[in-house]
Amino acid sequence: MATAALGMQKLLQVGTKIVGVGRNYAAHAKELGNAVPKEPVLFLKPTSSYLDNGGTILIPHPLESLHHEVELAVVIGKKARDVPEASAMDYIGGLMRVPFRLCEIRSLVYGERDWDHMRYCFLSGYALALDMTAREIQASAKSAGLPWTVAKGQDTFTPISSIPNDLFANQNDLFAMNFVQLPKSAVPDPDNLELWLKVDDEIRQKGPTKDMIFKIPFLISYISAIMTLFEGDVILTGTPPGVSPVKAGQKVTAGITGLVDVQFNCEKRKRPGN
Amino acid sequence: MATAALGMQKLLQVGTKIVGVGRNYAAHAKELGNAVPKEPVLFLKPTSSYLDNGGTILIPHPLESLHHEVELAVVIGRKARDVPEASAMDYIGGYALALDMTAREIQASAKSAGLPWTVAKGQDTFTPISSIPNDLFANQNDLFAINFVQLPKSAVPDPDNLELWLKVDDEIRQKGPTKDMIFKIPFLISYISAIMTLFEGDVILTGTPPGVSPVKAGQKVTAGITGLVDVQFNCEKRKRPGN
Repeated sequence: MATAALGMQKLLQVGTKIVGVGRNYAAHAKELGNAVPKEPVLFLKPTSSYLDNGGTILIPHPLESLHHEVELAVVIGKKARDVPEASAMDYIGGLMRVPFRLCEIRSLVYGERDWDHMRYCFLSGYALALDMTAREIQASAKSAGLPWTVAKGQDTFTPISSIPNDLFANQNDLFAMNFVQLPKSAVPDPDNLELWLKVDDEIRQKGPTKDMIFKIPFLISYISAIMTLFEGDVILTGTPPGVSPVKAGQKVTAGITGLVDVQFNCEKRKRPGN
Repeated sequence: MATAALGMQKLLQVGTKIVGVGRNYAAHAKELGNAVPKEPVLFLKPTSSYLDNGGTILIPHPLESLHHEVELAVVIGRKARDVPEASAMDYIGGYALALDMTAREIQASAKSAGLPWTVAKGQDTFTPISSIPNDLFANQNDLFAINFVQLPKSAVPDPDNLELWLKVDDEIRQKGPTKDMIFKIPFLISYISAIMTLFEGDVILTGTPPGVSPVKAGQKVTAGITGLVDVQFNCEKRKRPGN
């Protein structure tokens, strides 16, 4: 079964958007010469930019490299609009009921179960993602006052992987537990995680999520007041300092210490006819 | 049966993104003091911003108005990646009439600060769009036999020769021919699909003619493609729970 391809297909069907939060770690804002923001800086990446764990990041012609940005991704579990901060954490991860034929294993879903002629998919509350960025394109866009879409939104620019949860070794246990809590049980304290990223085994980024300027409940509240968030929508919560170029032929590994790690290759994109 | 709601639901279930093309009519670029671009200016609007025909555009607090931008929307009919211009028209599922509602002051601040246009363009109800006529869904079995967009390709043999118009409270504000588009539809599909894969139901907003202006709460917006479709929307200030 082509699970990687199926994985990508289902991600597209589950989520409707990826909301990036820029400059959410003070030292990262500083390393790029940016002011620390008074409000979250929001941008969109299309779901076509997702890349499953193990895949190949493609550098578009004529660029020589892309910048990596390792981020904690928050996965929304139910429709969220004008959510108060106090209840924001209730909107993370959870249970999604889908028509029987549509549910397949994919990057954000760590378990599934058939029950009463419906298939239930369990959305991870969190994931590890890379916000790949064409830095020179972004710099030009910024000086010209133009959108960041081409710098951030190309295919393979959002490598992502969920956090595995071995509570699902026995699928029968699924309904014995409070399954709304479960997706988040592997990550009881998202403010105390360590993100890391290596290029060819050399550490480039390493930082604690406690350095986030705007915390997760605030982000969910703030973003949901601007746009409705749906099941499967993902928020990329920012990156610690240490962003650097990755070139063709290099390997990127990254993770959340003790929880998940991912790996991706990097190649130049070949276009039909080139 | 809430067929209008079904129409919006179908568009939401099938489409994954809205790609806006900025400054694609020379006179519109000029009216906002912008240079005419050498390449298409692309931005994203989330599908959460769709608003069905007849709905209410909501002005977010503390703004007093939004700018209207009437646009021809191209609906992608099948997965498109690295599509050559010569075959680009084969990837179109149909057309619609859309408004790219914009919080102009927020956009102006974002531009001076080099920040994204997301908050200026991407709020709920900021993409009013023409929906499916009710009588096509009298029999639900027809749902999947029909092209869900209001304007199938056959109804629009020449997308380069349409007239877009928009009125606020019965006063014409925008009126312009799609032949004034700088980057034509086949080029846009080719260019965009080389940057990001387009999927069935994805929508490209192809730009707006000059005449953008503010719409305030209490005003009514009507717009259309002459001879093909027209739409109407009310405009109100958004009320938030607890305000």
